[in-house]
Amino acid sequence: MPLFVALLEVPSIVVGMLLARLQSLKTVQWGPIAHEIFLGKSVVLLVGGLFIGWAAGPTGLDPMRGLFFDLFNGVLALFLLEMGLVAASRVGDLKRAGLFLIAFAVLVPLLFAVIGAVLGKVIVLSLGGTTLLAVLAASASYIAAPAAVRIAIPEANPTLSIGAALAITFPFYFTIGIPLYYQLSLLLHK
Amino acid sequence: MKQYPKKLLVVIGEAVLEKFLVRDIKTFGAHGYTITDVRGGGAHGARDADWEGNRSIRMEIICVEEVAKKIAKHVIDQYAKNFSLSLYMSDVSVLRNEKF
Repeated sequence: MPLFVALLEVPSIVVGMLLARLQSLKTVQWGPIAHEIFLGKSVVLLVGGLFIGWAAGPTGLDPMRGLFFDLFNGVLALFLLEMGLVAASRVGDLKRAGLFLIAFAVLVPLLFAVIGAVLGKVIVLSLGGTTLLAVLAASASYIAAPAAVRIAIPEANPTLSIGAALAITFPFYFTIGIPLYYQLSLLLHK
Repeated sequence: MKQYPKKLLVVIGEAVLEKFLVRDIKTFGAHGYTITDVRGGGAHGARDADWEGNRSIRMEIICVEEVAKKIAKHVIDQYAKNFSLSLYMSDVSVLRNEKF
């Protein structure tokens, strides 16, 4: 399932871009956009990391276990603390967002989580797999998507999209969302 | 030491524009550039560089006036509508004329 975190970055950006450009596909400059989506720093690192892990195999990364495995939870905690600071700094953007965007940032992830959980049940994933698929379906990308979408859809207001994703969806996700998606998955697996 | 008058064009904009700006200035005849990471704020709000999507760059281009004006016009026409962008020009004197 963690494989999907990396693999879903690119399709999600492409789908988002296509949805925004449905009525003007002929005018899209695919070259620079494709370059950013497929060869952007973040995507290359994500996919490259997957490839390195696969090529090295289960024992190949043992010499680096101390850094990449043992320290993982600690580094993750630091990352989340920093993202919390970034999310808090975006709260001011909500004043410009309006109630619609706030509701969107909560309700749409919930909808996608339900779709993800149901799909997980349909393709016979385990309880953990179903939960993870619901979590992934409900998530937003802070890695590759912001830069790629900024290039692909320059007229979109990043203050609103990033503000909603970081200031609303992100804290909702970690406080209420994930426990809720787990309960949903439990319900589906009864 | 002899000094040669040139124009300094400074472009301050979103970091996502970096590779496009580098490509564009070379197209119009600039021989080089210098980029620094900066923070600031304005009409588009504050850009504090607190995460990847909120970074800004300051690009300095020293060239002849004609090239500076062409670059400035192109950058404004192409990017000013949708991206946070500031440009300004000033007179400078360079000591190595052949580089600019």
